[in-house]
Amino acid sequence: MKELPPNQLDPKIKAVWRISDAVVLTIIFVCIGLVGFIAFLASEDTRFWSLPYCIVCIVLYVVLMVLFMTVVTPVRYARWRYELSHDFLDIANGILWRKRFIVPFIRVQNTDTKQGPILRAFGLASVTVSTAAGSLEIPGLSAEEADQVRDKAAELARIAKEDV
Amino acid sequence: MVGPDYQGTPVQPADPQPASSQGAPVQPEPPQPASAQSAPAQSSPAQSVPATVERHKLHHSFIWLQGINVIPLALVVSVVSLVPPLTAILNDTGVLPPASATAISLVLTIITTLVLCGITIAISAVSYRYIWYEFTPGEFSFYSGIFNKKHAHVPYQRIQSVNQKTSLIQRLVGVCSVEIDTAGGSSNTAISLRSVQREEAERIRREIFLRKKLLDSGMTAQEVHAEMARLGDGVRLQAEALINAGVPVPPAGVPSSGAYPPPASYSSPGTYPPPAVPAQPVAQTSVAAGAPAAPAQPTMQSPAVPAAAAPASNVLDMPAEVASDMRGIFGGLEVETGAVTYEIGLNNKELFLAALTGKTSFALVLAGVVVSIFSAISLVIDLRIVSDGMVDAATHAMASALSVPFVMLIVGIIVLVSIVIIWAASFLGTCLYYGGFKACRRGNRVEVGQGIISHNLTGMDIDRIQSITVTQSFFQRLLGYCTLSYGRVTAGTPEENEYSTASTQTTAQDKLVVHPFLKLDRVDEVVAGLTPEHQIEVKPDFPLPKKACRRALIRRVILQGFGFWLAVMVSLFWLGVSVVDDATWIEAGLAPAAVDTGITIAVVSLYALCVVSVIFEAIGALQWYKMSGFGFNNRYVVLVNGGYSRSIVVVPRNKIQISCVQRNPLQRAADVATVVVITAQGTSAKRETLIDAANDDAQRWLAWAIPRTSQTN
Repeated sequence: MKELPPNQLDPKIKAVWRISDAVVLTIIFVCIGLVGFIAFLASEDTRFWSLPYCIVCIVLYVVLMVLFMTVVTPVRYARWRYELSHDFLDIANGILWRKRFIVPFIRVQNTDTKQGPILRAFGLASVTVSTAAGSLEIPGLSAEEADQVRDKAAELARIAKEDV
Repeated sequence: MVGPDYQGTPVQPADPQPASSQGAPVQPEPPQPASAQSAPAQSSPAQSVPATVERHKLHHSFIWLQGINVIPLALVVSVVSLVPPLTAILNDTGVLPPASATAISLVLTIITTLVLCGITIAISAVSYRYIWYEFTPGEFSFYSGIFNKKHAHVPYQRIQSVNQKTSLIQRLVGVCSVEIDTAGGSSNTAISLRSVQREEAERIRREIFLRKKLLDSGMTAQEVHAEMARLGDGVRLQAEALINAGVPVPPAGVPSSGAYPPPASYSSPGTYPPPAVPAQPVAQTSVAAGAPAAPAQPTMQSPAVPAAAAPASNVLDMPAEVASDMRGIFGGLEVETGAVTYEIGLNNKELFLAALTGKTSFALVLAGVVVSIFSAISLVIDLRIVSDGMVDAATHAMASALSVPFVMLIVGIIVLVSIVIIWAASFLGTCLYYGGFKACRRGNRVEVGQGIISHNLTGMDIDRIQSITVTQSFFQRLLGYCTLSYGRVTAGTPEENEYSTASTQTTAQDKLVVHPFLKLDRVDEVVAGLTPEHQIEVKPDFPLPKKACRRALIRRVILQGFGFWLAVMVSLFWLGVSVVDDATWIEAGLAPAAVDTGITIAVVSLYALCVVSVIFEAIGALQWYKMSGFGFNNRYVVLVNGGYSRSIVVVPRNKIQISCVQRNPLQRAADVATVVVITAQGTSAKRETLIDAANDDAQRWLAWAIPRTSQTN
């Protein structure tokens, strides 16, 4: 089990991640920065703290944006590996906390395919594989691969003698 | 499993159930070419469902027991809300003397209570009409609801456990609540039937497990249903005995004292010969135990449990047995639910120790000590303040007598007394809880019954066991005992019925304790007796690497260490205080010298506490390092986590849902990994973890977790 699973996600997922990261970061930035910004506009008296507050927020935002766009996303992509063997699912992911999961297909109870607006725009689907004890998500698979996962899970679930 | 020769019924090869979502009806399988016989039956499902799907009603005590349950609450409510205003109004009018005003208001209160009770009964009566359950071919169905109709369908094969709960009043009446647990998910609630006649409850238990067994053996739902309809009530037992013949018997190493032959004499269907145990000893024991006189119904002792053959017994077993033999007014006759092949109880010593060192008692004692120390201190302070204010010389003398040793004495006595009282209370509570504790193997399930006043009986199918857990608290480790339990999947708490009071609401636990206080060296024997299917010879072969020790010390002592962080806080406090100059203290009306000594004493004692706590944590970390490890063999993985207390978790390979190995950057540097075994135990999932196993071992385990196609599991 030394070597990582061979398959990588569809490269288009990097764009999806970038977009969704940007959206999330922007929302967080707006939520946090709005207080300082309003205070900055509202009254001159608050400038002693609201000015550095706003500056720190903006700098953090820009730095994080650049970091996520240029470093985190490619690393995450490189770390995200999976393998659909004929009877089990092997997933390795995580940048700092590296995790490796083995899910036998006979334990899989159902597989869901989801397509958010961003994923749909790129023609991808995310597959959620649920067992009786939680679920794992493969975020970016092409439509045919998603079908493949679903079929395998369904087929092997029939072989399983008992649930839980 | 059953061979095809069972009752001459053609048995199909294992028919795969579609992985339908919970509660969806199980459709008959598409006809397979091999089984020509079942094909016509399935082509016309309407015809094939026999008209014998009988509607079973609950017992009529469902209606009036609810009313009785409501009385105390209604009485309190009406007394509180009605008596004072009514009396006041009647007194204001001045027509009546005050005494009769009170009397009138009391009478009104009682009337109100009765009306409330009546309303409850009426509502229960209406909802009673719409509550019934059925054994349909593929699933157990429960119908309820007046306006919001609720139909719950549980495929037999998804049933995890069938539990019987009896409160004191239910026990007197002879009914109980039956809970049917299905495979987990917090959104998935168990089916709860209140007020089921005891006879009926036993029948439900037998019926469900038998049908499940038949379905597991490869028959289709329709065949099972036809079979069950064909078999008379009495013959079903024989059928089950036949089925269970396929279950491996306990190995020779197990003492045979607890093994009973299956009852052989049920030849005439529908009737049960009374067991050969004379009624005399029962009557005697009930008198001896001071229990109320036996009810009018003939008490029938379970033929399978002669008291002499019980493997272990304690002082509370007899009263518990007497209590469970009293079947209550509407209990009905005992239904034989299968042969017991192994049984284990608690002996006197085990019961005593379990009650003495139980977790709850320890926590209670700790809380009690804290509370009593505080109350004692505040009492003493009050005394001193009061006496300070007194001018009287005598009081003054007494106040000065309240010197430090005297105060310590008072505090000590109060603490001691409260400890004894709390401990005694929790001891009694645990005794009542574990009184009559019996775990037994009955057919294809493990049954655990316990409780003297209220009684709980849990039946769990063998192949629903998610893990086998041995836990040792610190006390148990000192004594060489442990708690043995089986992990199980539980549904969420049963949904409250629309009009029920919260009477028997206890959440099912994710572990079924089969022995609360067992000698550690008897674990293998008990597991082999209760579940011969699980021969656990797996050993934790992989100890933790050296690096884990260093990491554990850092983790336990510094990152999660109480002592370390307390020391940090104290240091910060000291720094902060030392900045304050003497003038501030004088301004606040305090002498700087006194403040300095006070602070020094506080800081030093807190530092001492830190040192003690750090030492404790360091010892704990070292112990954890020495005792922990994991291992696996063909069928099981075992995780051992040591420390002051210890837990050993054995998970069958086919119950692992997700296997996971995690590594953070520091773990990568140290070449260790966290092993996570995720099972479906509990309501959603349970993660059994072992931190800092050697990475090579962890990777080897992960490779082991990959399904072996050659193996059919």
